[in-house]
Amino acid sequence: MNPTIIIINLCALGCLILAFTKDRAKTKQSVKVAVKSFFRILPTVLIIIIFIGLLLGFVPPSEISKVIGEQSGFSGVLLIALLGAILHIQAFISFPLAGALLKSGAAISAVAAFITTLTMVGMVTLPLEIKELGKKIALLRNGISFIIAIVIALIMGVIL
Amino acid sequence: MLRDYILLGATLIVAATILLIFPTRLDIVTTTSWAYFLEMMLILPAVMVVMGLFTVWVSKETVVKYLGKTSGIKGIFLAILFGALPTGPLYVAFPMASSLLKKGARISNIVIFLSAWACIKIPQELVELQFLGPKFMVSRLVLTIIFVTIMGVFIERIIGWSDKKTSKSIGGENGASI
Repeated sequence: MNPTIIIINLCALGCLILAFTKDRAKTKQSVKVAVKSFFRILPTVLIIIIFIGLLLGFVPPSEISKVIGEQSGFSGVLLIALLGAILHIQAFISFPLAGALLKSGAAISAVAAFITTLTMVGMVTLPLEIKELGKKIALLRNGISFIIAIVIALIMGVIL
Repeated sequence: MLRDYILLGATLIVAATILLIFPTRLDIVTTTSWAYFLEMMLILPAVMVVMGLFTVWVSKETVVKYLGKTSGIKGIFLAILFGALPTGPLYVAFPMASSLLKKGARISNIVIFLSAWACIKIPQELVELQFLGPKFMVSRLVLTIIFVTIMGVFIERIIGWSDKKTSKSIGGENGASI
């Protein structure tokens, strides 16, 4: 048990109690939404966890660092940023994977680029975004977000 | 949802096959996966509860109402705040952004709202803190807020330049001043 786990659980419990005293029906509905989304996300979480196990069990850190480590330089960052833009995984499921990569030889900038494009750029959701907001805004937002993600990643590589 | 469970089954079969071929790796793979599984199970239910509460309590109408009429620094601040509230995946935010657009909200606020929604979720930051550490989480958060704000203003300018008709109203607060 570490502080973050305790904080997030206390926070959830606190919100739940507060909500319950204000409106029971709404709270019940919220819990239903929570249970539903938990089971919707569970298979993806388990897939990622199995993938992390296989990755760390079979790929030695030296190989990971060759592709997306310090020595891979800008091409490693670009590669993983593209991967992040294409993949459609909810961010908080990707953090364990990102953490595992960081521990086993990936560069900080590569990991930061992966998370940032994963959340900000969405190839899978792009058609929907175009439909709702128009081509101009959607394409500009995704395109500039990709560039920003790389800039953020490079800055983080320098300052951390 | 069913598709994800089928995919999980396929992943399990593939993993089991690989481990049968390389039994020496069984130990390290199961230990690693189990450690990550425990960590996720201690966090995930809490994240889901917080998100569920906010999804039900903060209605789409409230967000659209407040974001639609504010601009300037206050607008940017509200856009980040509403985006960061722990509610749902990005595709939930598109229809909200679309109705904001129709209501005449500033493009910069809409872009900032969408981007904040995508990457500055409060429970998401806590999970990032757990797996990547405080330095990583804080510096990425600060940089993201700065660059997302710049991007919002920049996209608004570009759209303003490209549609000459609306470029005037973007310069001065929706033409409210006479």
